[in-house]
Amino acid sequence: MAFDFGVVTSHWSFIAQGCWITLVVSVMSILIAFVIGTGVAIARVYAGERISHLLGFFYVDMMRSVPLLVILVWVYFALPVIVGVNVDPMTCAIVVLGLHLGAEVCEVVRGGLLSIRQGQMKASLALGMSWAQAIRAVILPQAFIRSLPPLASIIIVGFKDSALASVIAVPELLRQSQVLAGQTFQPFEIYTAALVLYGGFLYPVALALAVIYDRYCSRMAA
Amino acid sequence: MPREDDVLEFREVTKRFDQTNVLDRVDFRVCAGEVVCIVGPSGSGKSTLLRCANALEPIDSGTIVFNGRTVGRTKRKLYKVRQQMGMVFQNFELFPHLTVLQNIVLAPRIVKGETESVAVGRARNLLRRVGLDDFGNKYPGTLSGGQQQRVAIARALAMEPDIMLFDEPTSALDPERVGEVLAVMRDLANQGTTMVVVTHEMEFARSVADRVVFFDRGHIVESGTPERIFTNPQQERTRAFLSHHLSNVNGQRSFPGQAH
Ligand SMILES: Nc1ncnc2c1ncn2[C@@H]1O[C@H](COP(=O)(O)OP(=O)(O)O)[C@@H](O)[C@H]1O
Ligand SMILES: [Mg+2]
Repeated sequence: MAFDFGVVTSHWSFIAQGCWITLVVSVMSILIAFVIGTGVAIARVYAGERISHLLGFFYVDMMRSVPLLVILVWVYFALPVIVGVNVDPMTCAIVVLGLHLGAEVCEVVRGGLLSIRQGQMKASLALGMSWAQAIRAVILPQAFIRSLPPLASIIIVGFKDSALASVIAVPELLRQSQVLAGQTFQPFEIYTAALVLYGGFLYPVALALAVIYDRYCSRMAA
Repeated sequence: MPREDDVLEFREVTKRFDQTNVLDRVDFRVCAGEVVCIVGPSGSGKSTLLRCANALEPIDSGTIVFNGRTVGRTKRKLYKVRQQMGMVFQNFELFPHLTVLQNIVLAPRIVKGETESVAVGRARNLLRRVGLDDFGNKYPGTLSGGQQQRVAIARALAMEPDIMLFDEPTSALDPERVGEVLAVMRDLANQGTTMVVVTHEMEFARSVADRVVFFDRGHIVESGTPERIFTNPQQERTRAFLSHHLSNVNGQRSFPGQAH
């Protein structure tokens, strides 16, 4: 069997476009996940038990108990039937991936917030800070630093899960590869290229996150 | 010498935790420039007294007056009150993710809106005052307990409070680190800082306090000059407590902050 990777180079711009969309979908959904997840975590920890339970049940538990793929397909194909509005696939993917990942961010950050000892809040308030200032400047940064390893894996998962967007025809890397493979009848070369591109990008990202963690960790070590 | 104007006053303050009165109709006042040391067995409510003073704990009845104004129950007023009271904790509670300098400038920057240069300038002066000139860029985790507590004092002073509250500031320290912290506090006292110090360091209380308060089971049992409390206590409970602790004063252990 002879492989001809010339098919990859000759369709380079088509693949590069896919890489770009993958990057956009991943980064946007990770950003949404961090903003929403952190917000919900703060609410769950500081806004009282009732709100914590409501958010836990209606957001976190629901997101975590249904497969991401199912939510994605449902929101794209089923939700418009009820609300009568079609969303474009890319927006849909970004929002669904972001909300889904946000539930994971929420639980990790919540654990981080709860692990910071009470005295830190007391000391902040005693200096005249408001709760909001104390959370922003004192509690949350420590919670993030302490949660960096699980947050790093969430970021990696965020990049990888973007491939699921291919099922609703978002033209990201996997989708573009499928299209190419169908047109060229060279699935081995095309999918191998996709594999290498995902890995070649994410491996350095994982390493960089580990380096960042080491730096902060050594600072805060008692 | 203490002047007669009150900085802080408790009027019949009661604080309950699960039905028990941790503070039981406490009357307590601190004048400007006065140094009050509070001694008493653990669990008697000394920390609660300090935490109620700056409204970290709400009180159940009574009144707390600070700088002539009743400490309100609205949040905005509470922040204002806390800005004018410095508090030093047994466990330092420095912010581990910030450098020493950042620890000190944080509250002046975000609470008072001070400029970076003003806040940093004052922070450097304070670091010199507590003997830690070169420690500004270090992280708290790399400092000894005594050094951390001195940073915590500088951090509280950076808000330029009208009163400093110390809750057993040396109890978590290795014995050889106690002296350096007490020396800083002694220096503050000498410069006229109004201070309330909960402590088990009897020699410090004897030599620095204007007034010593013996606190037990939510009550002020006895209050007076160090001379009177330590040499001629009126109450049996005071005598019993001091007989356990006074060995610290009379010889066996000299005050480590003094010249040997
Ligand atoms: N947050 C709290 N909840 C319930 N009980 C408390 C709380 N804080 C303090 N107490 C109780 O109040 C009493 C006085 O505590 P504290 O003020 O810490 O005493 P001290 O500082 O003199 O050792 C203790 O019996 C303690 O168990
Ligand atoms: Mg205490």
